[in-house]
Amino acid sequence: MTGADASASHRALLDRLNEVAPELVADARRQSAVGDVALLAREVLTAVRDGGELAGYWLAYVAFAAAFPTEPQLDGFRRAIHLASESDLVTDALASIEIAHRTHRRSTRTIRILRDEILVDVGFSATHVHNTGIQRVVRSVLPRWSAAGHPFTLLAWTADDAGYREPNGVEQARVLSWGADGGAHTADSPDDALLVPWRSRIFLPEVPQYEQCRLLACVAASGAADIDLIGYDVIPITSADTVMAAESERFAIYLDVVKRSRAVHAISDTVRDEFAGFVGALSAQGLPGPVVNGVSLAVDVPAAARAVAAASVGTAELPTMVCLGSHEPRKNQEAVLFAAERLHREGRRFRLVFVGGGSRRAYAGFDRRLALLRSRGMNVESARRMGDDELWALIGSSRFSVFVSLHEGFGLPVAESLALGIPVLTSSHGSMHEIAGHGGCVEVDPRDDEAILDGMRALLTDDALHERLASEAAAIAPRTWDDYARLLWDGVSEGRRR
Amino acid sequence: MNRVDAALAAIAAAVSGEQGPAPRSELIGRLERILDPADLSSSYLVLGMLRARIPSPTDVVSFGRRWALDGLSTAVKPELRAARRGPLPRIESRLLVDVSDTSRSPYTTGIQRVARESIARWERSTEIVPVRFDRGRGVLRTVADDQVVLPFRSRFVLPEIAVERERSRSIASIARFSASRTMAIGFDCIPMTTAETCGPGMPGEFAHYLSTLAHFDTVAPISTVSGDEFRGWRRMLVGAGLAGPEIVDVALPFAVGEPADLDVRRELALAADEPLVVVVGSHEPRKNHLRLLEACELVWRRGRRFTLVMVGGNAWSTERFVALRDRLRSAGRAIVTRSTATDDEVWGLYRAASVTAFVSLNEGFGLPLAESLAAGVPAVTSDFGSMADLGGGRGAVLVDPRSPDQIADALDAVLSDPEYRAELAGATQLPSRSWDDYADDLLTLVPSAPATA
Repeated sequence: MTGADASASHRALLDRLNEVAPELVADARRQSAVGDVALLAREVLTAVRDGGELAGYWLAYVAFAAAFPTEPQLDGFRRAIHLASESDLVTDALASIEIAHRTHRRSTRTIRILRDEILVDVGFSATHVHNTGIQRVVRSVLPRWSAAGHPFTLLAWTADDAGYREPNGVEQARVLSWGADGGAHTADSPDDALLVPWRSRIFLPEVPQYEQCRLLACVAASGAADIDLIGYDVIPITSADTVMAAESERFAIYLDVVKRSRAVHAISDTVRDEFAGFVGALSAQGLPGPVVNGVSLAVDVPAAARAVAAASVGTAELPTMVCLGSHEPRKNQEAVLFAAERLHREGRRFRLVFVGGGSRRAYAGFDRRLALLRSRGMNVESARRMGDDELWALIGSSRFSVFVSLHEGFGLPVAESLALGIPVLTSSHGSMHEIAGHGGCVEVDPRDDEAILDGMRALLTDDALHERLASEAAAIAPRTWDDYARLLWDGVSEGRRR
Repeated sequence: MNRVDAALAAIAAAVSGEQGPAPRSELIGRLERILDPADLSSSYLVLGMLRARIPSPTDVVSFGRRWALDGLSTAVKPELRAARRGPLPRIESRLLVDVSDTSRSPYTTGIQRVARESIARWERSTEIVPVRFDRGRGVLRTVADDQVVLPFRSRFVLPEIAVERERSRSIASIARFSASRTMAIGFDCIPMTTAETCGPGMPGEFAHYLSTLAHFDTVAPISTVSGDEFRGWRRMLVGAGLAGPEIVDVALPFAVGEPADLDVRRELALAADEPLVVVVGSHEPRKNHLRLLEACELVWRRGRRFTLVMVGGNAWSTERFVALRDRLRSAGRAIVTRSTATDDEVWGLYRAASVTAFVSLNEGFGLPLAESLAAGVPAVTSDFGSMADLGGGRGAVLVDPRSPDQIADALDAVLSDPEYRAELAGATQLPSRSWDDYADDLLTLVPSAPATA
């Protein structure tokens, strides 16, 4: 390290200590140490040790390391201070902060405390143009909070996962005024301050990355800030046989954040029950776990979608079944195809369209089988990408939609098909069963091939049934994003000063 | 008779009792008459016999669909080439016990101890077939004579944790499609509820194992606290539309070791009057040995004299533990560590101890705590879960394991006050419960064999 670098690091450390000192050190003692980094460091550490509060250790760690700690890192820091002699207090505390933190992370970083605020972690949505499930929730809710004048601050992560930073203009727009933005790559700039939650509430509308989860669990466990989150599902645990092991692994670490959190806002009653089950398992480790609320997700489609769908009613040459959803075992497309093949052999005339992406490896074999079946006269196809207008027109022109997934947190394709006025064949359990309770659906056990076949045949051939379900679907009142955003804000801001 | 025909004939014999060789087309006709492809146990049985292995759940389902669409003779065609080789599995309908890990490993972990003690007792009263998975092949073999078996309409017991992917997937197939009744011992759900303390890879594989247990008839957790974890997990299954197993707690026994003549003090070169603090357990993060070391240092600093004896192997993420231990040692603190010890040595240590410490962050049972109390020695342990359940009011001092100060205060109190120690030692009454009791209780949960068709 050159002399210039060292003095820049030194200045940055002094700045960081000055930022945290008012939160930790009594005024009189602090004022006598201003400007003297060694003295101020000692005052901060002494105050933290005498205070004995884990949150204080956390804030001090962030000031010294310019990075958030994991729980073992924070515990190591606390232990070093706890066991240090008076004379070695500062050197022992510094030595306990892992070398990795002082090399690959930026020692010249400044920090800024965000105190008593509601902070929203949009780490993924701010830096990616991907726009399905979770990102659509983020991009629907936050603009409404903003328009309603609710006070909140957006957060993204530094590229090295040292901690939070402020999203730049492009990134803020990606969350607050979503429109195609060309997908420019964005990242943190060297001048970004590390944003430090302190006595604040962090709201997680996304599932953070593995390393971030370890840092967030420590934030919550230390009491530096409390955490609220949206519970989407527990698929990587209870349906682990349908996902990659790495996905289950990441989710298990996410559950470490969940168990230290203040509240889970679950997107359906089923998901509420799933998380409540997890909370019930925590007594073995002496943790109370979060409060679990159900705040059902909005079911609404744009007016344009309704118009396009309505205009295409009756345009299909053959009765059409549409099967929406990414191609993966959990979505059960194989069972749908099997039932369709049997209907075809029964001599029924129909068209079946699978719409949804996924990994090429997942659907390549499936698409080859579709080609083979087409060559045998069956009217079946798949669309791995489709524009919004085309999709709405396809749904509008379909006789019904098939969505017999094995496990969903919500089951958006069911809700959206109903909102566009077409009946749905769906699963008789969980969140899909919840949606079906509003009408417009035939429910079947998705693990029972015969039941799926019977359901598809009934929707295809029974005009009276079809008509009744279609009119039920048309009568379902939409649950708007405005409603959802309002209920969610009430939950997330609960108990905070306005 | 060639192997394919022998497999087909064996299936017919097992299902309907129809014996004897016949041409292939007649054998297939026989199976189409007696088996319904909509019942996936048919698909499992045919695929399992032709492939001489436990077929995966995905393969069972897709084979059943091909069979339903095109008939059995078309569906088996792609299987025939591979089916000409390999041993013919024995269709096994008795009580199978999967001891894959226990039969392979010379070591005795807590889990393997439970499996060994149970099986040894079951063998006296009932006919059981111990089996093991051939690693990575999806083949199930008898332990006794290495015979490849295919469970069908059997009873299948899993007394271990199956976190190897191929094995866990095979067991899921057995639970879902073999028309067998299934029971597993549930140890804990720690990799799901306390993933932050687990080694990398474990939480992901454990989740898959749980998704296998979701298809079992019965899971028997080893304590009511472990039962609370499994009941919580079972409630989580609602979104997947699975009922999950029945959860019936069967508490482990409190085993008392044989009185050891072993003089551990001489072996460790310790003075006869040197007070010992004994800690048994590996150094994995969940056992909280770092905070325990810190607490001991706080007690030493108060001028208390004792030797800390830790018995347990190394695990993952032990760098900080090793560093602190070495630092304290070089500062003159009396710390003895042993990575392994015989049962006699461990019991000798318990009996020589002034106090033991077991301040884990999550335990399904807490064997070292039970052993300490069984030996009549007071323990310092965590103030929640199975440890509080076991130790509260029975000679254990309960503390918040995240507070080194609390741990230190408790250790200090027992070390410094002989009357207090005697009072605690006098309270170490454990419910009398033996391995015989445990094995008997467990066996009543093994479902009776399903009626054959």
